[in-house]
Amino acid sequence: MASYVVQRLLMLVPVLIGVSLAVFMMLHLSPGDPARMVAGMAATPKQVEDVRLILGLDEPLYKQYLRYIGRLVQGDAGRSLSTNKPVISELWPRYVATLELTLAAMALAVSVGLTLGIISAIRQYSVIDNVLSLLALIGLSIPAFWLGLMLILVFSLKLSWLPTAGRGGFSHLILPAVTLGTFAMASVARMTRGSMLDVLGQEYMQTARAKGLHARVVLLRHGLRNALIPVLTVVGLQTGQLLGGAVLTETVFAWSGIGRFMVQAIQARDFPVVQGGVLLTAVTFVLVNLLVDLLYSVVDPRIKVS
Amino acid sequence: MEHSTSVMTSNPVTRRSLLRMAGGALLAAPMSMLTGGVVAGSAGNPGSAKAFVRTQTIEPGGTLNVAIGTDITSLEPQLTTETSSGGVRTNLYDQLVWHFTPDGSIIPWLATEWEVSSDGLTYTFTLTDKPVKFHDGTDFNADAVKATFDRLLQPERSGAAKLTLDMIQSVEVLDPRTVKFTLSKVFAPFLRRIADNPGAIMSPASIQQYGEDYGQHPVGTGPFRFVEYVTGDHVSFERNPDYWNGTPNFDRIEYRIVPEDAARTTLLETGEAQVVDRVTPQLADALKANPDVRIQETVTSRIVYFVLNQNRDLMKDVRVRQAVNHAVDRETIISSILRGYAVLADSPISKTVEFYAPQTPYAFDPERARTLLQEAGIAQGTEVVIWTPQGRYVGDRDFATAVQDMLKDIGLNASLQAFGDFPAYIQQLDSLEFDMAVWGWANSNDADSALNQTFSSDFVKVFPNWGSYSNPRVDELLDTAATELDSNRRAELYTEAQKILVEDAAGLFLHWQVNLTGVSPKVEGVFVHISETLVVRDAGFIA
Repeated sequence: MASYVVQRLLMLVPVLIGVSLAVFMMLHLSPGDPARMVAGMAATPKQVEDVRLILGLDEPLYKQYLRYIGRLVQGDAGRSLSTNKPVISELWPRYVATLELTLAAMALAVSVGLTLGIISAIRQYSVIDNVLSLLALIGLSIPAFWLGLMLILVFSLKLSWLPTAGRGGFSHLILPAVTLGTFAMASVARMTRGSMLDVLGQEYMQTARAKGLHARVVLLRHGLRNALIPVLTVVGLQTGQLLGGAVLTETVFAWSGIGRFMVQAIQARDFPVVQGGVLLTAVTFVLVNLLVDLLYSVVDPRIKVS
Repeated sequence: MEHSTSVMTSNPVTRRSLLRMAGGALLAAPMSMLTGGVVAGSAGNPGSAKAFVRTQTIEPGGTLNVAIGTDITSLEPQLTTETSSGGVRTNLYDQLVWHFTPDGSIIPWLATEWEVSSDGLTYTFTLTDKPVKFHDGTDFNADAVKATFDRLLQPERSGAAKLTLDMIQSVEVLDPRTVKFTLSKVFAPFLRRIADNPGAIMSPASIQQYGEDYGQHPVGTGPFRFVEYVTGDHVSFERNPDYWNGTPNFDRIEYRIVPEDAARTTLLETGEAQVVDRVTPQLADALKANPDVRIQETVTSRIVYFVLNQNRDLMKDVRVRQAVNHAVDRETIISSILRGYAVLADSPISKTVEFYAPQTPYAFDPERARTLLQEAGIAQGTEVVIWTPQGRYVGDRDFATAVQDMLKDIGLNASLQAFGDFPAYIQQLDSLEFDMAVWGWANSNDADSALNQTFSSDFVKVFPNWGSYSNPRVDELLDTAATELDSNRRAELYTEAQKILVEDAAGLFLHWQVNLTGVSPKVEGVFVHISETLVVRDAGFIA
């Protein structure tokens, strides 16, 4: 197991080289001049050229890339072109904010989604199943920014129960977590329902019931546990995606997360920040996938990691 | 030997002059605000000028919550010039002279008087005799001024802030209260430039201590001290009890960054914020019914216009340029698309900028436009390529679409392309493959910056004179005006330049952008400076 983890972690190296090269090329080949953005709208073309020299943006691309990688392996991701702060100190607090929001959203999605999915499965084709399926469909199709604004309208403006925007205590977390978690919640519910229905028809379920086990034990230990694998896959994928940033939710609720920040950085052509942010997201993806793979073997011991 | 030709000392600031100053720009403020006022601060004492006039009794204390739409880049003044950070920084720092007044006039500040040499190349400032301390406890003096500008002018420093002041050659300390600036070229709007954010005076001790990380530990002499900046979320300030120029009103000021327009105005409605910036015209109309919200309108220095590209055949002929000017119904654009929140531009310079001189705008007259096109030999159905950014200027794509239709009415086959990504748009403009392109210009709030880059021959084919308007007489006027120290003479020169630019239809000037700020009626003294900078430091809660 340990060697498997190490092996997977080593895989990060080629992934990061590939990703950094791709991002670097994309940034430099797409239109928009970082020197102009740094120099500002009032700068003359001559002044823009001076800025380009100071920033080293006039050098051949391969030199710029090697210099970037050379510093990166020493733990220096450079400084932001627009704020002049170290990229890491710009990214990290926002990453933590996104992590906080994602974990809250996924906790909500998993707890509620699993419960609703199980209820739907054991009451297949009942009224409650139909209602829940409809709700899941709405949850999957509702746009996050619209849902967010509606929640603000109701819970902040009309009822004054919850704060409108920004980070703070637990109360600040509720609306954005619900907004962000709704899609995942609906996917988890649907996936759980489908997967449970498969399992419920299996012969081992009949055996368990025939053994005289308590219905709850049958459902949770024999049923849910076997139904979890596809659900786990969905949760893993969703978590990875959300950690890359949930731009719309972050924007509506003024949540200072990494998604919104990356969009800003792209708009400002803040190359070091974009590169750093994409790398951080890539690492996150790899780690979340690794975690999911390890969890498979916990849920289903027949799956061995090697 | 230098001979001083002009000695400018600060006149004692009287209540009347302050009222005049405030009256010009508080456009949205009810007139009652301007009557029966009391001047705060020790009026009559040079150097204790107040940027704002009180008309209501203020209850000192409380926390002002401000919601701003754009993330701040840095709290250090020598980096960027974007106005979101600039507004936040006005709480922290002071400049030698100050222009964050409601009407944008320049008043004495850390320097009480100054002398300009006859050749216009040296400015000698006398600093205030009041004891001024930085937030880190060290003294403000001539050495601090020198340290500040020496830091700014370091060769390795890049960034927009430095570029606004790169005419400074050297700064010399004559004595602890006197400091001399030598310029590399005569530059008439120099005072305006050092009055702006990049001229903020920094603490030498903290420069020494924090170096490039000054922005994370910002120290100034301003009325509020830095408390914390939670990256991307909020910035907090607390009152500086030792402020040299009167005691500040608020205990604390909290800026929260809220990018979504509707969420931002909701904060005002729920009372979570007392000030929100950049209200959109649609939301402003919706908020007007709410008695707990006041919308302040400020005409800014930003002119929105179409660059008319003379590198392509169509716009080379002045009659065609005049024709498109006659073809566009600016009043309808302003009233319907911009919901009245813009002012028809009758000059390439905003009326809020010094040396603005009103001209006769082109009347909306499609008939005249068609005649002019005919005279110029332009066939019906001639293609016109229009470009616009999307989401950069208020209503940009919408009014560009309207203009496209209006040009079709005079027989031009206009096509429109919108660019959502602004940096890409700028680069695209360099290709010069358009006939008309939307552009907005708001720089440093002086006539030189307003006209020189946009219409002088020095910038033909490049940013931002892509249209390549070139007129030797205009060049001469602008060059002379930039080095002319006599105000009356400068006014004459700029007036003539504006007249020629309008007659030549150098561009299709649409409107000056109006900035909308939502303010709680409980707060007085919030204003938006013509540079689009939101200033709250002089505000307070009404008792």
